[in-house]
Amino acid sequence: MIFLFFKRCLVVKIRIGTSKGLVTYENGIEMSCQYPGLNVTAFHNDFVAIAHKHWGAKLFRSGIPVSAPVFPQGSKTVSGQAANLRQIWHIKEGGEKYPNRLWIATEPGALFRSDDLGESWKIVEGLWNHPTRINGQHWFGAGKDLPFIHSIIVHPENNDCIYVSVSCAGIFKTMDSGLTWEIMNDGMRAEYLPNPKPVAGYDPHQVLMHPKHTNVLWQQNHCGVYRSTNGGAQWDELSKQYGFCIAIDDQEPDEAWIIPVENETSRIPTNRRLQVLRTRDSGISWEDTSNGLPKTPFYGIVLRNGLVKKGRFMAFGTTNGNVYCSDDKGKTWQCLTTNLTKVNYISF
Amino acid sequence: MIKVHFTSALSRFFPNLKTIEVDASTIPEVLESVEIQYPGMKSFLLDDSGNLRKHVNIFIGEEMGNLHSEITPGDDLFVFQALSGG
Repeated sequence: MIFLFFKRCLVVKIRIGTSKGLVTYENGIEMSCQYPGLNVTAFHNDFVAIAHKHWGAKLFRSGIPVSAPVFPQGSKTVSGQAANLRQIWHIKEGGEKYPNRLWIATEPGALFRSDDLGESWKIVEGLWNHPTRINGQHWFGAGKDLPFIHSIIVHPENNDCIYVSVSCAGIFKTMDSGLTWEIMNDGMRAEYLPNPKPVAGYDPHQVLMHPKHTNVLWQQNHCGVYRSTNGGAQWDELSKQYGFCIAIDDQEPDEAWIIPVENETSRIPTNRRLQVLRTRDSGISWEDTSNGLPKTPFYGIVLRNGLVKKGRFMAFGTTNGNVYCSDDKGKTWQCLTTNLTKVNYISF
Repeated sequence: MIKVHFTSALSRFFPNLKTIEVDASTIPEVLESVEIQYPGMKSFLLDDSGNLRKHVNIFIGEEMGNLHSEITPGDDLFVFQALSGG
């Protein structure tokens, strides 16, 4: 059975960024481990980001160290300290209009842009100097000392339109490649604040745009699952379920998958059961699609960027180093490995 | 001349790394010369603000130093990683 499953997945390559290297599987077999022993925090094509305890956050291209973003001299974090790059969270291409452009999202929470395929980087000042970060206390860390940006969305039809997600601050959108930014937080809750409806201070754990219905965005937020049908101008709360990751179907705009986590303090699977839930009706109902996952108590969770979907193929990796795959849109799951360390990032 | 020795842990990032001699009168000058020989090395040792990274140690001879430590010609300067694994 396992053989048949992996046979069907023959063409599928899964790249898994873990706290101890970038591991590639093909047809159910580990083909390589690049950057062994290093904490791989993000990757995109041949760019790989690591966070090293001694040498700092680093960026590599095809195994060679290349320039990572640098905070300009004098830059201050929200707590007034000198801003130094701690982690690269997300690397994204600029889209068809900008073939030489790359975006990088970091901790401390900043966005950097390169227009020469990573040869040089510039901080996006329009976001770094956004009034909600500079003037108030609307940006703060969540699970990290400092706020960080973990999701970059480049609009597929208008590559000047970018969304970023900040934990904690919320969702910001630019229509001019980063010069000016609009807050897109309406409808969300921040129940951990005295005022649960601030201008900013929200915690979108992962945000995705539907590739065809681009006005449809989904997010797994600290306070629940949200969906927008107007490009993020207004968010509807679909569920109060806590979790970090979300996947959406690339055809059906009403279909999404989440992996529940009990709550912010325990950070274990709900009821200690590794479970995938799917909605096909925009969150009106959720069905359990966990066939093939462990039925015994489970303690690892799936982080943002730990779940991926492409067509009928899905995969996710857990904080305790397990990876599960599906070739039928999550109806059934197979264990790929239980031998890795914490999975930070996964991609087909 | 200052002789600069590196922890072997840096060799995975700089495969041709070896002990070098540089003409410098301050440690920042040493690091500038190191950067010329091993482009990108400075970012491994200093953070974005130009401070020595928290888990990087510099020794002059057997004495632990910092970016402001004095050096004199003939000194051996060692770039080590701090022990952080227990």
